[in-house]
Amino acid sequence: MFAINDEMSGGLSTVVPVKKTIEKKISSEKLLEVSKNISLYYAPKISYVSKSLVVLPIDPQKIFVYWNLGDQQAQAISSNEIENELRLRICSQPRTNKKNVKTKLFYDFVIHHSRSSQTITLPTPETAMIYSASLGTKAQGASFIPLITCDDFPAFNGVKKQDESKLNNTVIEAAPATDIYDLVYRENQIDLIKGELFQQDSVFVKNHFASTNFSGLSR
Amino acid sequence: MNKGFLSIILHAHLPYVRHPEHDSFFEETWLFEAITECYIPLINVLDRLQHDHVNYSLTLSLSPTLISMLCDDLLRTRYQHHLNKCIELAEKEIIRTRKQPQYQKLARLYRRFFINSRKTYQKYQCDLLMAFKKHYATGNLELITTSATHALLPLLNVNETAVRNQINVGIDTFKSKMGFSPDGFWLPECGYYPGLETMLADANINYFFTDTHGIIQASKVPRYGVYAPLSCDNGVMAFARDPESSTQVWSAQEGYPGDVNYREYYSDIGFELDLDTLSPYILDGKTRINTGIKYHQVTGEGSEKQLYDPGKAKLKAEKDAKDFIIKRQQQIDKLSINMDRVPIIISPYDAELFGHWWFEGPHWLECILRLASEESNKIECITCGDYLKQQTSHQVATPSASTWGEQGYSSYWVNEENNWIYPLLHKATDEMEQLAVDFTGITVSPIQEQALNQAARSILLAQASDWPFIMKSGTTTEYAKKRITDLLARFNFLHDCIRKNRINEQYLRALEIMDNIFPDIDFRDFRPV
Repeated sequence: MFAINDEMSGGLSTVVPVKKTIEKKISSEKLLEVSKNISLYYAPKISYVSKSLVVLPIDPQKIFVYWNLGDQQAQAISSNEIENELRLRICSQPRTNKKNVKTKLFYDFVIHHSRSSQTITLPTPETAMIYSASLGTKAQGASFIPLITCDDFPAFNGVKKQDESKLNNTVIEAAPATDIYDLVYRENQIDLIKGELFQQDSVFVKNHFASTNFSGLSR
Repeated sequence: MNKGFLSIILHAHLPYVRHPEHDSFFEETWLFEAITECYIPLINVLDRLQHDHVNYSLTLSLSPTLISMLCDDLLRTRYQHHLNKCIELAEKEIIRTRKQPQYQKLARLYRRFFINSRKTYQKYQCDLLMAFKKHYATGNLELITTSATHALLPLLNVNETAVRNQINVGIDTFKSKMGFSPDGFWLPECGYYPGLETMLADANINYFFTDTHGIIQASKVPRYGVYAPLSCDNGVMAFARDPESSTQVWSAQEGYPGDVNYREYYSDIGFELDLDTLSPYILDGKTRINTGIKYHQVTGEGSEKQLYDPGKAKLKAEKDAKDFIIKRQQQIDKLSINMDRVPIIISPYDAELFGHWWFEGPHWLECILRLASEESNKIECITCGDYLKQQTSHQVATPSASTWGEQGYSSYWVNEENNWIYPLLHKATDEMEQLAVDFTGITVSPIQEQALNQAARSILLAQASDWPFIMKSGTTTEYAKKRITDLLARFNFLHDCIRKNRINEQYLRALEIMDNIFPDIDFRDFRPV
């Protein structure tokens, strides 16, 4: 490795460029060698400087979450996992709120300390929602302690049937703060275009031609 | 019959598959097949329409990666070599099938097809962009573009700078090669999220496209469904795909391309003839690939594949084109009852469908454009740009987050096969932003500037939605994985060099040769606004 690094760091360039004859053309063999060396020694890996929690909405029911607690914190949690569960807490509230109505819900998902990402299935909302996420710990009988949080993110607001049996995570608590949501039944308000013109599981999105291998090797 | 508008949009895109480090490379054949089977036939269609003074309207989106590859000297040279090999193979087929007249007739057809491709390519001096620009100048063809490397913007949105650069570098590339700014923008995979229109407006984009539910589930119920665009709060217009006209072309069950008379895509001599015959015409002499020479028609399930009859297929394409127009007219008549304005039907398709997957597609398209231009039809083909000049008042609403991918959201790009890329990609994107912040406003040497710009290129290429898409579709999975990890490795290498101020000029030059896209990129644009 050191030999390769020597090669890569040869021809050092500082603020004042070192005068050197550079090949105008580089052979394909040399290009390949450069490509292989770089791929070998600089392959991407996760090593974060700072803590982070990122949420990517997948569809109206699912989100993909990844995080990094930092080595110190991760180690502390791992050594104390029996007493302190690592939890991902997703809070949701309707995108449009009536004044003074508290309508936040939260869902907790137990996360194994060795994980750094998870796909979460959320109960289907009946209106457009905004979510926020926190990763933290909760000891028995104690409050949830957030370690890292994520900015609010809007979820997709498609309406799907809720199927609790398909929830793929352990939901420990799903508790409304207060009150109920306003329900907006969009489909009933579409008086011009209905029914067969739009279906969530419409054939055309499932059979998108571009999803087939371009060169036909998929057969 | 009521008057109605039909807007056909073809989105032409290929990932950046240029590999000068190899003498030949399998994935480059994606480009060569698309040129021969899609883009040249499309140009021939437009040439014939122009010759016959047909007043058609069509929109073509050209992705920046495709634009870059079409004007790349190395790929042009390799394409001509590929095409000559196709002609040679067709000539050998004519000899091989001399005792099978039906097969030989088809072999001759392919020889003519490849020779005509070469003729068109040489007519435009190996510059297909010249052909598209020529037709743009007639006013019949509207040209638009998409993001720099076709990144799925909702999944990059953890970093706004990344989204902004995908849009701006894409538009700058288009402007630099085509000589004008696009009016419209094709969101990759129709991937939209509320707020994206702000950046589109900043880039002087007037309209974009979403999938059907992007408008149906907008912030306000769309008064005209998907048959009129919505105006976002800032005036950028959103057009949504019409599901009916989409299903007729896209659907594997009901769509035109699945008709038994059309040419079968998967029956290719590259998988049928013995390797000794094929070896000079396949890349490494032993891996079977498509050659473009196919002798059978779809035929139907359970039956032995019948020999392709091009005359019959052509007639079927004409019949299907008439059917499409009749159905659009019926659709417009139904819509007009409840609309106080002329409905517009938005019909976007991947350009590569026409000619590659659906061999007769270009002929079908030509028939559509001819039929729509006839006085007897009340359907008028129109581009979205021209529509907006005629129809100036629109309902204001915000579309909903959506894509045109499977299930209508992002699941095809975020799943067990590919979600591992996002922490790596976002991390690299953040690091690029930090580099831009740290090195802007201070004096950088030419070599540092080159390294910083090359780092920006690596990031943009890594952000392509093609890589996670291919991983999910399970086709050339290893290539996609290798491509994204190589690009991120290149970024890591450059990042390391820049931070340590130890830049190997030869390695930098090698990367500039291998990833030579976006020559005018400026790393300073990667700072947050």
